[in-house]
Amino acid sequence: MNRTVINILQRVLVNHFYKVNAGFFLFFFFVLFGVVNGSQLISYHFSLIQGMIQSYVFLACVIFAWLLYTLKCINYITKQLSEPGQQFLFVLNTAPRSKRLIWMLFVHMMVYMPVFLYAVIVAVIAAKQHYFGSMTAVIISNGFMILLSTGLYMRYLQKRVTGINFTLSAFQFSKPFFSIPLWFLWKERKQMLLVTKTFSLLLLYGFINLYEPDSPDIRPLLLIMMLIATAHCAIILQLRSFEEERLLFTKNLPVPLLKRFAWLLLMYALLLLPELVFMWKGFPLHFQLKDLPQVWLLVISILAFFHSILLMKDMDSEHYFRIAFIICATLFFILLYDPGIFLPLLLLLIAYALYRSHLYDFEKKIGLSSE
Amino acid sequence: MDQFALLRSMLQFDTVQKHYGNFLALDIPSLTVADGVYWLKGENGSGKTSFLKMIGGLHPFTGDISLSGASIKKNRVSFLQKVNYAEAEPLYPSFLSGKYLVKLYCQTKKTDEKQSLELLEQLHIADAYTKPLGTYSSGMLKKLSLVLAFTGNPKWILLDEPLITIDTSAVPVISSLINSSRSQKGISFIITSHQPFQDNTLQLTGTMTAANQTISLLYE
Repeated sequence: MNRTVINILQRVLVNHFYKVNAGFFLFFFFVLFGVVNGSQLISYHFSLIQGMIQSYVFLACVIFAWLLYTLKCINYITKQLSEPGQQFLFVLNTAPRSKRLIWMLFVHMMVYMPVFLYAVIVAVIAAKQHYFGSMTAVIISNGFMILLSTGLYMRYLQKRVTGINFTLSAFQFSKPFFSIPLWFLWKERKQMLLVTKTFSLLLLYGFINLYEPDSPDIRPLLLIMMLIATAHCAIILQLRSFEEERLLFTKNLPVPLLKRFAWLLLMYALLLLPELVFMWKGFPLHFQLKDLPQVWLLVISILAFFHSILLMKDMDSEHYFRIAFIICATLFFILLYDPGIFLPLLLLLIAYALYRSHLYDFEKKIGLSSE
Repeated sequence: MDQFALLRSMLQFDTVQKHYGNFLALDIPSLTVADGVYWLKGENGSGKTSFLKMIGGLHPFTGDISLSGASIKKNRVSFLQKVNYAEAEPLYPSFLSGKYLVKLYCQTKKTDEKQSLELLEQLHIADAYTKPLGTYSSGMLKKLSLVLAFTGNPKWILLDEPLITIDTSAVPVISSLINSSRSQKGISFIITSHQPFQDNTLQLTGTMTAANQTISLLYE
């Protein structure tokens, strides 16, 4: 029985978690292991860990990031348990409590594994270098997060709770239509939004504080903003899926195509508002006022471009992330030559052409091929 | 001259094809549907919903559909001002309220909320008007989708299984609404339903049949 249950839990909860978050892991894998030379990888991470165990502020930031990942795991598992297709898992309640505890601990440890392995390495290095305070903080924080998650899954399985709801009912004001997808993120994809925004704001903060240009040059900021826009590609996938499922009815509304595209741009401008505002911290060292339209338009146009790509037929998440990565790499080289406002304008034009071509009548391709 | 002569409008289908992957689900070489009330019949999976969704602008297809000469592909906004669609199983964002959707429909269909509010009262869901849709039952969502389908000044209303999940007391309200919309405003209907309307209260113009990957039309 134990082995069968473990196999089922592995298949329906764990494997699916890594499948739907493939883009998320790919991105963090790139950030953690792809940005440094292979020969310096170990020393890079060793220095990083040294920083963590020697500075409590740094360690607190890392533990906070682990907490965000834990929330992501909790959100995913509880959502899966509430899916009608997974209702059969409630039969596990007939087993003794100790067994259920082991099963739920197994589920959490499997989805938490990437963080857990890194945390073990941090704790071991801290112990070896006699930073026992940091070691204790790592062990206690991880232990607490693991037990908390397991306990929540147990309670959820017993239906003692109806879901992990972080609703803030105070935010009840009029919603312009273009902002509806953002409300979906706020209400139903909180952890993903929080992780993305934390990452992009930390990236921007690090850049502005650590990099001091010798002469005025907009290119470094453009590169950082491009990376920030690309970090939103998993969010865009969620927004498209929400559109297809819950906003399909709006296709019956008599709204001109150009207006729909303008709504899309407004929505992404609003989504990027924290970064666009935070960017001011770098004024005037990292950019001049005349650069603003170029920077803003670049990030918005990249997001609109990714969104339009997802409208294309047969665009699954795997293809999408691959294309997003290729676009990111291509833009990286183009931006080195400072193409000015022309690049965002071109991206916007291509995004609109794709949007116009694929929003309503993507089936024309099949029609042509079947003829 | 018929008082609704100016309102009369014909739906025309020109080499319309609907594919799912490589599977040809619907093939309508040519079809003209005069104004009226039509019952679209067919087995499950025969293409009834796909047919309505194509007209409602929700599904892509090859070929063209036009209404009084206005093509959905060339004059989409004008076409959709005249065609409203209610889904069989409507899905909306759970955090929006009924009020939000009614306002959205009224704004885009360029009409006021008075008629929608009256309909909500008639269907006994006015009390939930300001509540989030996540708190609605499936029957309440269905009623709301029907109210939205009657919003504005459509020439055609497409109702996909309008009677499923709603309570029996709402059925006569919907029948009478369809009949009055037809007689007073000249609105045409295509209705799919596996359940017959009570006592044949609908005054049907014809019956459409979805079978063998196409749609055929038989006038009464």
